[in-house]
Amino acid sequence: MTALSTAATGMLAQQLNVEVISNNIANMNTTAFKRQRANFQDLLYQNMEQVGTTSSDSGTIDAAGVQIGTGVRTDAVYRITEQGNLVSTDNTFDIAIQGQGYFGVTLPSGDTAYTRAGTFQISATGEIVTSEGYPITPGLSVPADAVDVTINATGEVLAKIDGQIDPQNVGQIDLTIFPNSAGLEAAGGNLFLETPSSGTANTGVPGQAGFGTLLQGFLENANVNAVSEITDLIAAQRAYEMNSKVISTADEMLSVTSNL
Amino acid sequence: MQNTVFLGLSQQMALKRQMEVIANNIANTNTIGFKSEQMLFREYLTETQNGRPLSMVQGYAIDRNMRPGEAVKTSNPLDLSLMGGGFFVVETDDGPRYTRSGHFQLDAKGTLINAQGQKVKTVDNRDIIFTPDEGSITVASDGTVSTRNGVKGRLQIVEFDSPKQLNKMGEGLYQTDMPTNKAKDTFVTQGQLEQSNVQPVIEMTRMIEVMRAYQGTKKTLETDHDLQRQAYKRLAKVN
Repeated sequence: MTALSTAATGMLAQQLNVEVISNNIANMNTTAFKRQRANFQDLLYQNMEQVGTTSSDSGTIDAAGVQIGTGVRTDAVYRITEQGNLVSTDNTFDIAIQGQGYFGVTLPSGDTAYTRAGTFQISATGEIVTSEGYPITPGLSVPADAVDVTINATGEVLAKIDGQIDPQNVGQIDLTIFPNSAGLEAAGGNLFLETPSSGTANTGVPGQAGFGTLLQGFLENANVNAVSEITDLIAAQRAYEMNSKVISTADEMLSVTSNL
Repeated sequence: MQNTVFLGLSQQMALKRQMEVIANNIANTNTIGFKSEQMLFREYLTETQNGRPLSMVQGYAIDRNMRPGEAVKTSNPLDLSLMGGGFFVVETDDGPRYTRSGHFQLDAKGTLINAQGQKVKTVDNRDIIFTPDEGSITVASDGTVSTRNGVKGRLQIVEFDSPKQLNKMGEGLYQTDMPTNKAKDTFVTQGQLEQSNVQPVIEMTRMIEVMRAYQGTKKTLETDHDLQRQAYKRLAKVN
């Protein structure tokens, strides 16, 4: 009975759907988290009777054949890169990105990772680092005697040094964009890695064509919508139940057969 | 007497097939752009020894319900849904394929592709390629794709005289040798995906029907079996 295995593929798909939804809900308050969505596709079809076969001598054609499907499969779990809401934190080193782009972060291994979570801090040596302590790329230090730091929309870092009238430009925060940012590999800890599918990283100054701008004192919220996640969760659970009902019906049919 | 068994068998075969179709519909309740299907049955007459025809049941075709599924907002700029009966065209090694599933993305070179990596075609049969500095992508209702760098192309959307005759290839793709018509009544909406048009209530009801009919056939077969047994007993007594 194919119905048994068809329903099994349906249950597996809904199980994965629930896993994706629960991860979205768990990350509702994660800075710059991008919600994910599972995409499903129908599996191959068995041709019992080909569409368009001739059904008489006079050349009439079967309008519809018999093609029996074999279930569903997960095609992709993709990230929806919609901009999250920006919330004010009034923290000097909280930086949100408005529009496209990622901050570069140098990992301890020397590789570059990318993030949109701009919760930066100052390390003991004055470097701007992420909350894990990884320096941003290119590295940037704030002088120890700076009393105030301003980061403008185009990424210039201006330090106001005690006793000086003009703020001093201490560096530039760059953004990186990708042809296909949905193809980045999530590495956990709000970090993403470049992959062949994301395309080559293109680093530039914020505000340039195609690049977003920076906003100091703000953070980007997760773009998870609680209401739609919960309704999706209910739909997934019901679909799971229906598939299990198919299994029990198919099982009953088989037991009718074996009791003949 | 044997005829009852064959009749029952033909019905059980048909019901089993219908059950498989229902199972596939239910498994695809969350598949983007999926169209629900239903088995069609017809009477099939066979000659018997006494000359009277015997009516068997035969599943002869699958009818596809082409009703559009509801569009659900995803806010992804490359999620497109079609309003009306048209199809997007994607390019495969075996020729063009048609799909209602508008979950598109970009590949590493910035080419617009579908979820399986097949290139989405424009009206003049080109690919749509985005450079990294395009900014946000806008798709108009006639399928025109534009960014801040101008118009990138217009998506090819086709309609068919009889969409039910399309051949299903799985993965949301259809194939056909039928001539295509330029879309007249189909419009594109951006940031939405067309959900499966499977109606769970109908599928569950049909499944119960199948189940009961299957059990009913069993009853018929059992009764027939009893009749035969009694006949043998009585005939044996007379002799």
